[in-house]
Amino acid sequence: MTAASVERTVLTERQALDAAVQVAKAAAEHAAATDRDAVFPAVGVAALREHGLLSAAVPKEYGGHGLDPRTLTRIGARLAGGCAATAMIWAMHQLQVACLARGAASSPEIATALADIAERQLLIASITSEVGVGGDMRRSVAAVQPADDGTVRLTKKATTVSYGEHADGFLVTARSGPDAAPTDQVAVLVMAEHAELERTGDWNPLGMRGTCSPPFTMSATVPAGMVVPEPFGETATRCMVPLSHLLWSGVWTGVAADAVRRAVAYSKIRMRAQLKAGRTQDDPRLGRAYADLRVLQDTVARFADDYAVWDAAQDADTTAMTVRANALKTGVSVDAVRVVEQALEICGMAGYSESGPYSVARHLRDLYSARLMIANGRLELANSELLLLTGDLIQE
Amino acid sequence: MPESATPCEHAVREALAQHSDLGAAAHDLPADGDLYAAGLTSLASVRVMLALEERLSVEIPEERIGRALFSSIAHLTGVLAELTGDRDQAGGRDQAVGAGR
Repeated sequence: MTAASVERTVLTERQALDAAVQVAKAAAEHAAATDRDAVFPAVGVAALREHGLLSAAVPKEYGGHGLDPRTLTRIGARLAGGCAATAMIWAMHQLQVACLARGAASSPEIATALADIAERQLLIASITSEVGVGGDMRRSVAAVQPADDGTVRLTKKATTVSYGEHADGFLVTARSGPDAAPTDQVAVLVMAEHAELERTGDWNPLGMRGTCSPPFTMSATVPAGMVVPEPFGETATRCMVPLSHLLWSGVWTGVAADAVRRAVAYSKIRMRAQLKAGRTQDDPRLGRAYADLRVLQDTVARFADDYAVWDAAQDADTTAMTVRANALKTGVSVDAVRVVEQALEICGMAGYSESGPYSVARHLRDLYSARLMIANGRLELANSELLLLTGDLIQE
Repeated sequence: MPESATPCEHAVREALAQHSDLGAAAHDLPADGDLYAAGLTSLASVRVMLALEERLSVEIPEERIGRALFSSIAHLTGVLAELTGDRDQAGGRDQAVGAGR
């Protein structure tokens, strides 16, 4: 699973985007089978490793490419044009390494681990979900148990662990100690060799089937230095929440863009046939679909730029960013589906087909996951309350 | 249209006449004249392109599609001649391979 260590150079923005196109091509060839069989997109992830793209979000000082949020978002969108599962796995992994980079600043052990992850292009999954917390990432039942020998023990029953069976390590949330409150959480880096995973359920969903996200119970004993010093609440607010909503939105927009590309190709074929027959029909639907797509793409790009500025200013207001990130996620997750629906109507039965160059069936199924990855209702509820605190957010 | 016009140039002039506002005047335009100056709109150029792709059974690669493609009858004809030439050659090669088996 782990690629041999190779000499890597830092990728420029341009090189990383070009590499993403290459990976998308490789992944696209297997996207249908990945989806049909609900299997891990091994070829796509191998291509990510080969091109060094797994360390895209790792800062240069730890051996990564240190790419900015805008570029990361564009990489995710390009990958999604080939295989949404590969793109989503890449995006989720970037979140883990970005959160670890925050921990690396204050922990030599985490810094060393992150450099190793970048050098060997290791794949990191997250175990944030848990039985008994009702889908609230900011609460844990599991707790870190310190032992006398400088290790900590941890057992967690997770409801979904994406690519859990294929990851080289996990970022796991838990209460900071046996007596800690449910919201007093830390993140722990658990490498696969220190973990025992027991799969406790099936994986046969509607879409994003290649992410392979069944429930697991994980037990681990790790060195105490693998506990990220920063409280997880801070990591979540500063990094995991805004960056996840941004990168996911990039992936979903990329899926929608591929559907519109297919609608363009189909419309060309249809118009050629109409011109041959000597009668063309006015059809504004493609223009409408594109307009909706463009709004999403511009919204995501704007958020990426604003997030970069906010991230650089450590005293920036977190509530404002949380509300915006939540709004981005709930908006794009629903509107991307609407874009693909328009592509479906343009392509007709060729779009409804599960195969062929004009199929948007997988796109549609994949994108229905978007509203559930942290349920939109939960985020809308949070925003409905947070907005009462900060009326300033309404402007601009 | 000059009598020496190639099949590609003939197709281009036909498509311009039928699918753009140039109408029958397309047959008499100089081959190297600026088509946009003559009244071709970008909207009409899409139909011209698709009609030509259909008629000549070629697909103009995306990187060659743009305003410059329609700069003149001669330029458009040149691109299409190249594409149909490539296609015919490819077909020829396929046949040769088939015959060799």
